[in-house]
Amino acid sequence: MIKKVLVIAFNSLKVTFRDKGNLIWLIIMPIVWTTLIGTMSTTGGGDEKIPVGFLNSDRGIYGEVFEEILRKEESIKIVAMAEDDEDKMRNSVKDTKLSVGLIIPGDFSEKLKVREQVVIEILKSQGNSSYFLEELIEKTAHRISINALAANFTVEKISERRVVLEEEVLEDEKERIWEEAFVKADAFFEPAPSIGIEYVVLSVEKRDENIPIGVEASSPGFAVMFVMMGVCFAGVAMVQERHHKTLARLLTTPTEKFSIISGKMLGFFLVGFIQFMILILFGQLVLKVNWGNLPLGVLLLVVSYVLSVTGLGTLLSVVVRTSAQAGAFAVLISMVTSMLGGAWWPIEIVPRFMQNIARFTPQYWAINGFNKIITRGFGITEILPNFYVLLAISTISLLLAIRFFRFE
Amino acid sequence: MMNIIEVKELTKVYEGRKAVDSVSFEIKKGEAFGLLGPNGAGKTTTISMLSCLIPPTSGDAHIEGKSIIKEPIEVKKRIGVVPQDIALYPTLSARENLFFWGEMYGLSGRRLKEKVDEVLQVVGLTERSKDRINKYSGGMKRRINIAVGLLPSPKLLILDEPTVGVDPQSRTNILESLRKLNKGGLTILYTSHYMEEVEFLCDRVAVMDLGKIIAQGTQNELRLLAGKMDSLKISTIDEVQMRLVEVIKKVSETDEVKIADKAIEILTLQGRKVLPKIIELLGNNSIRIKSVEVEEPNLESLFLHLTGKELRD
Repeated sequence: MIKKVLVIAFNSLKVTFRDKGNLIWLIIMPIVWTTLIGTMSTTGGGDEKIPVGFLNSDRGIYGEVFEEILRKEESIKIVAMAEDDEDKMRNSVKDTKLSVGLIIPGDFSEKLKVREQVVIEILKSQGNSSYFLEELIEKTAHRISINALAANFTVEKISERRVVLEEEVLEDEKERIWEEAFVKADAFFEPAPSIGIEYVVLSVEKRDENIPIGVEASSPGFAVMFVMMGVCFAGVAMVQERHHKTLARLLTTPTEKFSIISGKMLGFFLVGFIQFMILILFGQLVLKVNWGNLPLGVLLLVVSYVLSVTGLGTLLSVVVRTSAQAGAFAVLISMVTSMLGGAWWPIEIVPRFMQNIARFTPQYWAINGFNKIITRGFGITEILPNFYVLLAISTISLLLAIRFFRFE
Repeated sequence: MMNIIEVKELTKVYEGRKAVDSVSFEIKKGEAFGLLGPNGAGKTTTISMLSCLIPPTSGDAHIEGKSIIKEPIEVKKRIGVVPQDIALYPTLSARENLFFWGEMYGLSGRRLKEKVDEVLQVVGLTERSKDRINKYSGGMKRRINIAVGLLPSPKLLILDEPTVGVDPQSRTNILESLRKLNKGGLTILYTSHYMEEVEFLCDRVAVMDLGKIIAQGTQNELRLLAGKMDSLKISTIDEVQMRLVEVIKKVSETDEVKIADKAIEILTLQGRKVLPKIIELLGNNSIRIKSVEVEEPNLESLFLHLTGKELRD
């Protein structure tokens, strides 16, 4: 049974991608639209890095090292803040202009040197968390902690040796040894002086989220729209199959009805999934949209979204009678629901009632989820609601499609 | 010879109208059986029920003992179906289509490849097998449509008007191929509204009209049902003496013999059997023959006789 399901699915894929017209609609058009609309709507160069506020009060060198390490990370942008700008940084985090704010205390280096606990502060706004950023900061803190341990250890050992040799270690020399040891620190491990991290969650009075613009908005937006169109076109192909009687002929072979329906739906799903992956790769590699922040989250959203449009595409093929009708409805439904769902322009700029209507489209939940990952650097927890809603839409539409599936 | 298919009281009702009304027939192994009738007679509905595409309202049919209602998958394993429409993927090549349909019939690996090559050879399209179906002529598409039906090496090949819309040459090719397959032992159920095709291919025929079988039997049995005799019209160069009338009557086993100068007209039940004897008789009497015309009652005249309308009405 599974073999036949796969054979039917791959045959559908072959038939879909063999058609040059389909290739234009599935791949070429979305790429052109994404690039054109994205470029036209970009303001001031479109910085797609995650903004991280960095307030360094450290009187020693470790605060600077912390900043340097973070600056090497390509996906984030360090916004250096002056020591008396703490309030300003707190407000920026509250307003989500900064994804997080990091405060290095004045005694950071001193305490590390004497192996005392030191606390750095990470500011983040309510409901806005990025596991990627948190993990990055924790990793960096841990690294510095180890390096400090190594430096302490090295100076101590050399001092002991000099005592045996009755030689004095000068303070300048100690500093030099510290720095050298720090560089070679990776060789040493626990117990390291701990660097505590205290998260300060700032309440948000007015939620003014980062609104995606440029290719950051057009890449997920048009990917979502054209994938829906692509899957709906696969629905058109099934109307043609019904017309060509190949669907009915499948019933004359020793194959269960359920296998045929499953195979056809899997074919639709694969068309949408492959199309989505191509568009994501184009966005990532050519347009430099940061799709890679949370691969698992992207995958969850892509799978649940493509499943939901698979159900809707199959339903479309069941409802209409002719391929002309199917083609017209495919374009109409994809365009209208995509406009409503926020594929053409950020949903944040439309009136509240339109935003409420948008919630009835799968595009809204997909785009909203992608924005959380790409623009705001959110984690899995924050995109789970989007995933669940898409899964619910998928379940309902797929069950309806199976119930009303027609061979003739 | 054992029956490969037994159809009993098969009925299909659509919205209160009987599309097929208590149809019963049997087909013996190795036989070519024709379902003849005009459009709308119920042939396709009958075929669709036998192919397990639609369930009958009542009645049943067994193919090699397997019920179309209770064991549809077992039935489907035993039949090859060639639908009236060209049910192929136009953007795929003939070979790709055959591989796909072969896999749907459960074939795989080397067996699948061998079978695809074999059926391509049967329909004579090996050379063009890599061309896309939408580049084929109507006749070629029909041949690949038939090839799909042959893929599962079926016990029974069901063909529903497989020559609709093809040119005369392609039709002849298709019919010749089918006759060859039948002579090779393949049982065939063939529907058509073309009387000549059924006469050419089928041993036994059932004539359908308005959902019912109105007559069935061998071609000769059906001709006799029409109640008409064969007519032999012979023109001669030499004059035919009246004295020959009695001899001709005796040879023709009929009293219906007319002689007028240089023409003889004979009405007999066995025209084909009698003709050589008459030619020999005339030769022995030094009467040279100018032309011979034989008119036999056919299935068309039978249909006219039974329903009062023509097959293509």
